[in-house]
Amino acid sequence: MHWIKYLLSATVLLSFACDIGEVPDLGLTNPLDSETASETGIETPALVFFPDSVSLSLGLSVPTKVYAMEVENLGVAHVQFSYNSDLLTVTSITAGDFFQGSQEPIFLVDDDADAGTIDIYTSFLGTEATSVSGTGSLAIITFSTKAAGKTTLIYSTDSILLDPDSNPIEIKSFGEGVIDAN
Amino acid sequence: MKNIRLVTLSFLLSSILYSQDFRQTVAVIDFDPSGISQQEATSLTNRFRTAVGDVGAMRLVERGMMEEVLQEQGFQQTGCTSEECAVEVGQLLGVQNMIGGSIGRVGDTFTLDVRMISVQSGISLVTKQKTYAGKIDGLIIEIEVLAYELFGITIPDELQARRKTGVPVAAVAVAQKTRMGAVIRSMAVPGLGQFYSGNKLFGTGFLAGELAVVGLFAATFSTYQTATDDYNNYNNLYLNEENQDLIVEYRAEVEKSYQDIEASKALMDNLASAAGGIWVLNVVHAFLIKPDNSTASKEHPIRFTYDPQTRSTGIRFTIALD
Repeated sequence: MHWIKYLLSATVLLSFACDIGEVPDLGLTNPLDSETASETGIETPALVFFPDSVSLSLGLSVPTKVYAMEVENLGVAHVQFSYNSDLLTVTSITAGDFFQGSQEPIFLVDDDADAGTIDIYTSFLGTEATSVSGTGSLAIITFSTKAAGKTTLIYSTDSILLDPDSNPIEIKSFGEGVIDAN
Repeated sequence: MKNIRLVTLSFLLSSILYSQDFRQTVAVIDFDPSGISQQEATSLTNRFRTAVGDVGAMRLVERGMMEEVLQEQGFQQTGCTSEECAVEVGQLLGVQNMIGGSIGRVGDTFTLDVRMISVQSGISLVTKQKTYAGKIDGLIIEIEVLAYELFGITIPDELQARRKTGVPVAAVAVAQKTRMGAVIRSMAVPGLGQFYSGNKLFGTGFLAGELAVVGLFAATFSTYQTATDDYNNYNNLYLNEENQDLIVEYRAEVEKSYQDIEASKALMDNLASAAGGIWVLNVVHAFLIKPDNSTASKEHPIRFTYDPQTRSTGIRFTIALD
């Protein structure tokens, strides 16, 4: 009955052959994708981070963008969010391209490193239009990791979006950002 | 008592030799070996004796009968190599002609010297010499040929053919085909067990079926790999893209390539199942069919050959295409 071992070996090989190829997980997770946003419960207009999840080695820096998503008639924005200042250090904060026009936008920043909060005040100063619409970045914050761990960037509900006439634009959802230093 | 038995045997021999057959009688004494063993010489002489009988030009005294008469006379055939001795044996046997000769060997070359002597006159009627280079096995056919040549008879086509194709190597040693042999071959290569068992139709069917499925599998796997590469490329572009229009475009490409991956994977699974099914069926079939052992010894693929014109030997490999 020594031939049984050949049969078993061949059967095992055949089983492996049946497992050739796999279907990957459909990773449509771009936070700026409106379809993905609706699938994950993000309603627009919304404030999101891009990228919304980053893993990096300790000591490296990563730029994170503050995005206003699918907003209409935006003229002024005050964005406030928190981070874990024990794990991250803010290296730089610059204006995004949403309010870039013929004139540089008003762009003010208040980084409270002790509290781990950042306040960004920005206003559109266009000459042909008074506001912008759609999806665009309001600010680019570069974080540097100083300790290993995972921190979540969380928008404050005190964040405000206004139209040129200072009427508030309802922010229906706030996205989160995750920075994992290891 | 001895004389009575001798008379009886002689009477019996005479009655056989002269009963309604007017062909001359002949007996063959063992060839004298030189460079080969006595046993080989005896075997070759026996083959020659059989060939002389097959030629049928003269009536042959069988070896058994010959030995019995000679034993009764207290005559030792061994060492009887001279013409005089052959004549003496012929007289004892009561035959008209005697055939004797020698087989010599120098290296790989053999010499055959055969002569037919008239017992009555003691003169050589016919002498034939043959030189053969090659293995001693080849002498089996050459000595048969020599029998025909000695009597001036045309060599039969069958013998000519055997002379050309050579002697099968270890034909008797061809292994018997077994079910397990067929099963193991079918496990290794679908259809091989059926070919081994002589069932070429099913062998071809299983082999072609498996090859077709495996070919389709390979083609589908190629599609799968292309789709996977596309998926990875477009997914990277999609994840890093901030432009809304491009996000929509890349998303569509990612979804399309993902669907291609799913379709290819499903087809691969089906084809793998089909291949496995054919394989299992082929193994079971190989086990169930009874191997045809008649094909095992029909023709051996390796033969020693001898070309009498060039006097060269060789090995012939045969592959059946039927």
